[in-house]
Parts: sequence; structure tokens; C-alpha cells
Amino acid sequence: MIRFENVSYNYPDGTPALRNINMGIKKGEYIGIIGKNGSGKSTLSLHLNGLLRPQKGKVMVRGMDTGDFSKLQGIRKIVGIVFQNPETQFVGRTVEEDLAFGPENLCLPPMEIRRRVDRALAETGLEKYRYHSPKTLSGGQGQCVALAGVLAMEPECLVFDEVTSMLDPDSGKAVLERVKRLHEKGKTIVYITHNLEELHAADRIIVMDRGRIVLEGKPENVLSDPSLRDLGLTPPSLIELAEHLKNHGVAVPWEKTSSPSNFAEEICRLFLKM
Amino acid sequence: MQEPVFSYVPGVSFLHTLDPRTKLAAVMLLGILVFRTESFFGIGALFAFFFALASFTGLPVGVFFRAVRPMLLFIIFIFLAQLFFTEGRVPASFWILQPSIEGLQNGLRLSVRFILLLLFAALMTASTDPSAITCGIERILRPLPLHWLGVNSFELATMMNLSIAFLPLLFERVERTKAAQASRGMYFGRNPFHSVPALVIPLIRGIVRDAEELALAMESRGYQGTRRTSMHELLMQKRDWVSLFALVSFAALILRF
Amino acid sequence: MPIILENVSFFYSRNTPLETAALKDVNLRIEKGEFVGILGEKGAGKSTLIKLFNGLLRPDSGKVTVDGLAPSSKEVKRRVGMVFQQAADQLFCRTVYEEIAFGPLNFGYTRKETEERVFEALDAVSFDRSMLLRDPFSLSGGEMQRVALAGALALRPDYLVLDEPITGLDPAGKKEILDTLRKIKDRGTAIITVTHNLKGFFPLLERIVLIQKGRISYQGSRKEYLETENVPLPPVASMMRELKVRGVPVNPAVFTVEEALEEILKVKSMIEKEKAEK
Repeated sequence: MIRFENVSYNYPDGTPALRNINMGIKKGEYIGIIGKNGSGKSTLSLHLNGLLRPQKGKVMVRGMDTGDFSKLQGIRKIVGIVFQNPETQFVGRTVEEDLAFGPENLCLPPMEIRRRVDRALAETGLEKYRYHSPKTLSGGQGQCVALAGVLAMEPECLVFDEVTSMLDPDSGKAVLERVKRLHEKGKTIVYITHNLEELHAADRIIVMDRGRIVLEGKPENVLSDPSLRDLGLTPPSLIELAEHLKNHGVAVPWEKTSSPSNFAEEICRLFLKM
Repeated sequence: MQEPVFSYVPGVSFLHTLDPRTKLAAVMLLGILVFRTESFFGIGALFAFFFALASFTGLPVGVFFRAVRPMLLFIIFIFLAQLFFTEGRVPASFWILQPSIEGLQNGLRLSVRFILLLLFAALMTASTDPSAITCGIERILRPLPLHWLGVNSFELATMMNLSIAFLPLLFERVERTKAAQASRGMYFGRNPFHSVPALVIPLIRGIVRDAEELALAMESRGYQGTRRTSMHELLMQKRDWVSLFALVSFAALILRF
Repeated sequence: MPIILENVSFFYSRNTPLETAALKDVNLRIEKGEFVGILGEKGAGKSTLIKLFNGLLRPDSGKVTVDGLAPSSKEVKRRVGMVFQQAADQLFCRTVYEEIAFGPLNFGYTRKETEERVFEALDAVSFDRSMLLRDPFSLSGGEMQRVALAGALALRPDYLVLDEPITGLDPAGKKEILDTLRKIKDRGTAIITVTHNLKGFFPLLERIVLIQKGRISYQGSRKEYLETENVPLPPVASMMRELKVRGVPVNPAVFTVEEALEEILKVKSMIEKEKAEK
């Protein structure tokens, strides 16, 4: 659905942000992208719907080239991005007005805009905040409004760019749950983060460092890869514990490392079997 | 936290259901009227008109008077300036201050006019969804050849929306920076050459960063600064034309006196 | 002498219909040299609480004293250094040197004295002298936060108060700050930090204060905290607690991967021994 072909991009000061990236994203896939700050992961996300355009190579979204200005509006209908800071994504004075912003830009008729806004409100459970100012909401709810604003454009692919880094752990978990449900409903998900704990549910993880893809694969392989620490990333502590236990003959399967209670349940089961 | 001034109160009253363009035109017309009316009788009639409209909304009148409060100092200043600097009969002088009867009249008239203007504006903002106001302004501006100025009515409307939406964020930034610098021992009153940059530079940097992020988010949601539609359907109905007609007749009546 | 809060309450929008209590009857004592973590959900009153320590906010009732002084005094602003979440909100100078010197100059120290303090603070955050002429805005997030820390340390505070110092930083930046804080603590400065990053901060905290809906619902040592019911825990600790609840005889009061490994393996060999005996 989205294809990067030999994409390179330099920051205005000349330092390379992306170096010859080749990758593809299939419809319905759930992809996690990790890397520390400056690894190029955010630059990559901005290429997904033509907010940045490659200086070399090209990015194709469903056969449309992001370098073609006449296709940009069409591309943004397909790929929507939720950004890190909810406060700088609000353009409306009420939640409802904010959600209408995208559909209004697509020049939809008023009836259709209403329908989409109502649907996005229902999908995110924000109906009761319809007339609230987005600024009076908590960080987690704010991120929900930002997500609803993108959903109102009814994109096929949703990109999340470090959306939990300003949130407290509980709101972060709620956002992650929402992402998982959207994936189950068939949306293509690109989830960018530097918190490895959040990528358990992904189909595939891409690790970036200094503008390159340095590691790619299924989460069970990537998250326990010893080279992560060298890249300045901390593996989830439960996965680390599972790795150590495996060396001592206690094999906790990958699926059970997703939460403390699953992990404990599995250990109990293993001990009872002994 | 400041109390909201000029804020929208959702409702279903007659005023709420009018087209925003009708209300915008009405406020403009009333504004002209307020400043063209010389007689105290005319001003009295306008006040009566305001109270009549206010009762239509079903909201407590205090809501509207709140809009006057932030301007109160300014209004008092105008009143005093008129009182003391208008030449005329001076019944009694205090030191170098010489209040005149004419000054008293002018001062009263001018300050009451400002209050009326604010009240009518508050009436409109309280009964109209803010985005409908910008939408109405956009529609009124659309026929004007704004492209000579390098903008179009859509951009203007979005800009208005954004600047209002961004005020709270700005206040929050000021508070944060003030707290951080005060913790480093800065006192604001003492040396403005010292304290102003410490406050203003992080603020401007922050606003620029916010603006960049916002621009990306807007573009990502398909904003191109060109034609866009609106969720609000604007339809001038019979009651809009009737209200406007009634208002024009009322204005003519007042101006006759 | 410590920071003492006695029966402190604080309200927002006092005497208006919007009045909300941010803090209710808070009693707290923070000694010199401690490392205290203030935990709690968003809006629980954590940020309000720390602003009482150096007089940025004044309590509506109750009393706050710092080493016996009223927090409104300038001396308290020197003794209590405060660093907020976004370092970018306070940086405004052209060089790192000026930035760190801002505090000492505000307090009227001489150029020479200020310079000495800047060098000392620079050292405390593990920067070398080449940093001094850098533009603070060209630095990474973690480095900016270290400049902000140095700016507070240049006043030689007895207490360093931090509001979410690692939120929004990447793993490398987080580690930078945590390592720096460990070093500052070893020099004898008390550190009080508001955080919800349990995984990162837990190894550093000596005492924990949990705030829920404006009240202190728990305060005590880290060890006691790990044994307290219904408190947020880092992942490994909450896994260990689950194990204990399920009847596995482990010591639940651990939080590092290594300790957890040791505990689990202990139980494993115990089971193996029992089986062998049978």
C-alpha cells in the first residue's frame, strides 16, 4: 500500500535524516517503528503522507507519488497522522469544530461532514465532550480528540508519531488499546515510539538508527535482540526477565510477556507442572 | 483561571436560531446607531432594546455585563478625560481640575455608548456558536476582492479561528515560563531590561515551535489554504429577513429623534 | 532543618463557583539529603504541591516552612532549586554559560563568585568546559534539561525539586538525566521529584509520597511501598506481586530484573529439591 524506494532526505542544515530507505507497508499491517531521537523515525513518518517529500527516491501511496502536488490531497485522505503534542493539533474551539476541520478541507458537503463528525465522536466515546473546548480536556482525552480528528477523514492508514510520550502511563495504555482496536477493524497502523514496551502487539518492527533501518522483523525477535542496548534503546523489563529465565531453563513464551499478570500466570503454570 | 468573557452559551432561543450573518449585520448596524444617537432618549431606547433582546435568550443579564468588566478601566478613563477636558461651564473647580457640565454630558454619553456596544457584541457571541461567527464572516467577505491583499476569505476565517483557539495555550506558556524564571530568583518588577528577555525569548521560541507543529498537523489534515466547506449550513430564513427589516425600521425611528 | 508542610490546603479559583481543592490537609516533611518521589495521577495535585515549596504558590490554609523560613523569602528560592518539565520554557540566553549564571546573578553574587558556581554546576551535570559557549537551543532534549539542572545547582540549593524531569525525552536522554541526578544526590543535595515514570525512577527513590485526589494516600520507604496494596508499581514489581498473590513463595518487594530473576530461581530450586526428596 505504501512503498519507499531509495528514499533519502537531508535536514536543512545538510545532515542526513534518511539514507536510502527501502520498505513497504501492506494493507492491514501493524508496524512499529523505533529509534532514539534523531534516528530519522519522525522524518520517515512525515514522508508517509507527503508532509515531507524525498530529495532522492520516491514514496508511493497506493500508486500515487507524494512528489506530485496534485495527488497530495488524495494521499492525505488515505494516510492520517496523529502527532505527539495534543495541544498543538487543536484547530477548533470546540471538540466538534475540531473534528470538522479535516472533512471541511476535503470540501465535503455539510451533511456529510456532520455524519463523519458524529461517527468519529461515537467511535472515540467523546460525545459528551462535543461542545467542550479541547483545551479543557486531559492529555489522554486530548490525544483522543486528535485521533478522532484524523478518523473523521476516514483514512485507511493511521500513523501515530510518539503519541504517548507526553501522557501518564494509564492514558498511554488507553491510547494503545484504541490503536489495537483500530487495527482489528482493518486499519493499517504505523506506530512510532521510543518506548519498546508499546510494541508488543505489532506485526512487524522496524528499528532505525542514524537514518537507516538497522533491524527489522517480528516483535518477538526484535524486542529481545541484544543489539538494542547498543542503539540506546531499553528493552521491556519483562522481556529481559523472560530472556534470563530461558537461560535457566524456565521458558516463558513470547505472548505471555505482554503484561505482568500474564507473565505471573505462566510462571505459576510452569512451576505446577514441574 | 479567568472567568470566560464573550463566551458562547448553547441554547435554542430565537436569537440562537438566527443566521450568524443576520446577527453580524445587526451588531454592525447597532454599532452605527449607538454612535449616531445623540439624545439621551435614543440611548435609553437602545438600552431598552438590549434588555428586550437579552430576555429573548433566556440567559441572566449578568452574563452580558461580564463583557464590560475587562474594559471598565478604559471606560472610566474616557469618562474622566471628557469630564475634565471638555470646555464649558465650570460649576466648581478642584485644584487644577475643572469639570464642566458639557464634559459630564459628553463623558456619560461616550462611556454609555461603549458599554452598549460591548453589550450588543456579548449578546451576539453568547447566542452564536463561535465557529458559525467565523463562517458568517467568511461568507460576508467572500465577494470582496481580497486576493489583492494576498489572502482569501477562507484563510482569514481560519486565521481568526486559530488565533482565538491559541490564546489559552499562550497564557499557559506565560505562566510556565514565569514560574521557571521566578524559581531562578528573578523578580519581575525590579529590572525590566533584565526580566523581559527572560520571559519573552522562551515565549517566542515556544510559540514558533507550537506554530510549526500546528502547521504540520493542519497540512496533514488536508488544509491547503484554498476553498473549503463548512459543517455549518448557513441559510437565511424568513425570520432572518424579518428581523433585519424590523431592526432597520427601529434604527430609522431612533435616528429621527 | 527540613521542608515542613502542616495541614496545608490549596484551592484553585478560591471564592468563585469554580472553586476546586487541589490539596487537602497535607502533612509532609522532607529532610536534607533525601531522594523523594512524588507519585500520583494527572491532576492529583503533585505540581501544585511542589510549587508550595519555594513560594510560587501560597497555601490557603496551613503552614509551609523551609528550614524554619517562610517560603516567600528570597533565601528559600535559593535553597530550593526548581526545574520544570520543559527546559525549553526557561532557556533564553545565547550561551550555556549565561544560562547557568542567570540564577547566581539574580541573587547578586559577584562575577567571580558566579563563575566559580557555574563551573561547579557544570561539573555536577557532567558537562565539560567546551559546553559553556554552545547555544542552548542547539542541544538535545537531555542536554537542555541538564543545562536547566545546572542553572538550579549554581545556586547551591539544599533541595532540588523536579517536575517530570524525564517525560518526553528519549531513552538516551532519560538515562543521562537519571545518571546526573544520582550524582547530584551523592553530593548531598536532597532531590524531590514528581514523576510517573516508575520504571526509570524506582531504583533511585528512597522515599515515596503518593497523592490521590489532593490527599497524601501513602508515604514511606520504597520497601514498604512495594508491600502496600493498591499503589502503582513498575512492571517487574507488579509481576512479582501477582506471583505472591497466586501463592508462589517469592519476596514481592523487588523491582529490578536481576532481583526478580534471583527470587524466581530460588523458588525453582526449592521445588526441584522437594521433588528430588520425594
